[in-house]
Amino acid sequence: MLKLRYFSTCIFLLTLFSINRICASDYFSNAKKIYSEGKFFEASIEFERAIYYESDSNRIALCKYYKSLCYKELGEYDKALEELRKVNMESVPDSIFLVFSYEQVLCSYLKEDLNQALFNIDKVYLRFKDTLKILEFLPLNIICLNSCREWDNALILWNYYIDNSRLNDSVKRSFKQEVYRLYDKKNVPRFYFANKAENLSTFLPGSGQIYCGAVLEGLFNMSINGTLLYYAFSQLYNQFYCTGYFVGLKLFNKFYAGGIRRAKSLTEEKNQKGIKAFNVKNSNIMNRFYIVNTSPNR
Amino acid sequence: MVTELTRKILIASIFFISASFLRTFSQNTPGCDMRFINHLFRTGYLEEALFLLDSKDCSSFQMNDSVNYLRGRSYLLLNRLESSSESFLKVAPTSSLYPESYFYAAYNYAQTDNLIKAEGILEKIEVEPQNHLWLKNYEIAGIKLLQGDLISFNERLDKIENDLPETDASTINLMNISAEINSHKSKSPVLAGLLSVIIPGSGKFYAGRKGEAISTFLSTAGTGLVTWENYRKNGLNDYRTIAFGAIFALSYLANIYGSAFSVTVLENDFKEHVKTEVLFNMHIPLNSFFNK
Repeated sequence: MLKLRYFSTCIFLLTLFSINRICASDYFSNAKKIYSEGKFFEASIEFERAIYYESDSNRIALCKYYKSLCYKELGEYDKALEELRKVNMESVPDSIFLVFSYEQVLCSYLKEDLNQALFNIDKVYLRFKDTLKILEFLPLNIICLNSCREWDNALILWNYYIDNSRLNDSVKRSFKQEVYRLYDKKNVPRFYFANKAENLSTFLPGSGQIYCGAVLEGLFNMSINGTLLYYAFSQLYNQFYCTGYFVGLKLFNKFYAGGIRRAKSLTEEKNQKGIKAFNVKNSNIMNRFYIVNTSPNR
Repeated sequence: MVTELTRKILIASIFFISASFLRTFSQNTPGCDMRFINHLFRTGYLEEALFLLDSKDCSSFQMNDSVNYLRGRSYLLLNRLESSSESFLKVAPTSSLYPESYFYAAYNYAQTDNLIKAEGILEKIEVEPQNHLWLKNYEIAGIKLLQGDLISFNERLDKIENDLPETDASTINLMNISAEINSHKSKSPVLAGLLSVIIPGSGKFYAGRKGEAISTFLSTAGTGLVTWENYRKNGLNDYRTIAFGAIFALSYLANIYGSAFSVTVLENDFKEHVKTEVLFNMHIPLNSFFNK
């Protein structure tokens, strides 16, 4: 009789455990189904439910990964990174580590946190020294390095990326030529120094804007400042001291100071635009390279 | 004769069959998973918790007090105060969550300047323990202070009998705010405007904006000087005199309006400061009573 009681208890506990396991996997499948339907907010809740009821750490990590994908799709990169950060990366297998790290790098880049993106890439390189596993990270690494204006390092990575592809030598050579042309000193985006633009505008109003390539804006600023200065001095010369000072010089002062500030902000604007355009060119080559590299007729 | 083995097989089968039934049932009717919703709330996934509380699954739980309470708390933390109050007020008086819900609903209305409604809710709350009565009087005193009714505030404060040190400190704070309101000398926008008519910028000086007063004085005086200079040298009918005169007149009139407006802003700032302080001190006992 006692044996039967023990047996019943065991069977009861086993049943409870199996229900729990089955339910957790149901939640995960349901969440994945909602995710595939493009309902990312709803899917993030369902993945959280699966995490809540799941006991297996590897499956929890997988749910967190999917949850971070939901947040990425919703444009909430901070939350996506937070989910990925919750996983103990040191204890997960290499394959999961790579997938998680890739998402971390991508979300950091999308969040425009380049330092964090490069730091995460370095962590991957430290774990997988001299292996082909890091190849998938190279395009993102190149884009990040471009954003930091590290052209030489980006070019080295491009070469490594092309050399380790499955393409034949002639195709590799043609891609390399294209990349070298792209990274030629003439083609990399010019860096505009904010201090230089400010100094130029200090000595000659409008010249800072011209230095940044905004020629029309610079000429307009120059002519306004010139006109106001002429007006101020002509009034002072004609003994209209109050008018010369309060109208001419005061207005000149406002336009002059505003022009200097504008020159500085224009450099930042131009630098960012240049990098974006350069990265678009890079992405185009990367896309073509990926298509050729993965096509069966390479 | 049933052998032991047959009995074991029978027991195992019953458990597994009932488990599979349970599973199927749970899949078909997901229901309002309050355990999971509570988890979402505790871990700060408030939007997610609200999404589930507002979903079809929880629609049959509309009258459920814990659903309404949780919804009210979530909205409160998301600073959607009107919705929070509406949800809190749906909690039934028989529920154990009733006092907390109603106190928070009143507090939310006080935050959104709906003081009459807030007072009405507090007056209606039926309180049993002495602490809740103390809290009721204290919160009403806070609302009276927000209304600027210092006599009623003192009357309410006199009704409070409490020995808790944490609540004593809040009461003292409210009394200090009351003293601050008493000693506050309101400034007149009309006087500020009049001062600016006599000397441009002096109205702003009166409003306590000294730097702005000096800059206003200099710019108005500057345009005045320019007008005077053009009038003296070019005559009254010259277009430059007319143009600068118009600019001066505009600047002069704008300064008068600006001075009166500055005083209004100053008074509003004081009211806002009082409101923030009172609400803060109304919130402390609420927190210590219900979040222990």
